[in-house]
Amino acid sequence: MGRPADRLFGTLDLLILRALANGDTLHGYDITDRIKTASREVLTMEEGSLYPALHRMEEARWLKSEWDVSANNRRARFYTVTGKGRRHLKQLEADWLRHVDAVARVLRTA
Amino acid sequence: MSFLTRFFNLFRRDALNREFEDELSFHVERRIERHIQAGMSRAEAEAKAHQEFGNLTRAKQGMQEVRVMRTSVAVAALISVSLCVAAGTWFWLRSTGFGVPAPAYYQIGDEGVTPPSVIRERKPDYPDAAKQARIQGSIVMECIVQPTGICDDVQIAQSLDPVGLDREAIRAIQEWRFRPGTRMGEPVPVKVNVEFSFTLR
Repeated sequence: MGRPADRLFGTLDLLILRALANGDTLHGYDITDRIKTASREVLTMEEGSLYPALHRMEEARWLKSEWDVSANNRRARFYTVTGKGRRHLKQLEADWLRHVDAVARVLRTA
Repeated sequence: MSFLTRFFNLFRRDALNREFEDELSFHVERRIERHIQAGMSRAEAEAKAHQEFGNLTRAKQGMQEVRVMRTSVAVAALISVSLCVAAGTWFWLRSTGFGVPAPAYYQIGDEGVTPPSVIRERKPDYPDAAKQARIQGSIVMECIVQPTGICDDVQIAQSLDPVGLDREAIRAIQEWRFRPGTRMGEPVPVKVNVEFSFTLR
């Protein structure tokens, strides 16, 4: 935490769930790329920190995973979002938007 | 569920670690391939991929922490589960009467005890000597109705005439026969009170 490499402001769970929200089955590498690309490289992190988060989120039953063969014919672990994960995503999105809105309000008035 | 999985994962840590390593090296190797495709040398690509990935060991530890229960937690859980099982077993055994010494006798009114009933009684003799001495009144005796139906261990609770009528009363009660009291379907010793009245006419 607090490393300059992480500029996610504690939104890692939200970003992972969002990356999987359209129902895709992705391995960690693709999830990282999707977050990077969608944020135009603004949201970056140590890629390694993604994996404990993925496993924690699977323990929480927001994700499920299975081993499968990747496009380049190698064994990889693939993640999908669960129904519980979708509900959690909605909650996180709402929380985040309210948070950003509140910060913006403070910046305007202060 | 997750608690149990994390507990049992303690016993397959090696297999899990290999899985974690496979998952992480898939990521790093793919990153290296991409960098090489983009024109880097193998050495450059590896250095860059590792820098982007960060500390591999820390990532693996992070995964272990999530997936595998800490040994101390597992030990604590095992201890509390076995304490619960032991306590449960103990209470269950006690409830079936195991380890509870059976009392020498039960009292009428004890839980689960049906009282004895009289099958045959005999009136005590009222000796002439006592009549002439105009001794009258009542004697109360305590005795224990045994599973055999005999009342023994007779004690005088309320005496009237220690050398005369008390003895007659004891002799009489010893000839009484009872259907014994029971507990859980078994005949058991039960203490009873019997009162005899001696009345002059």
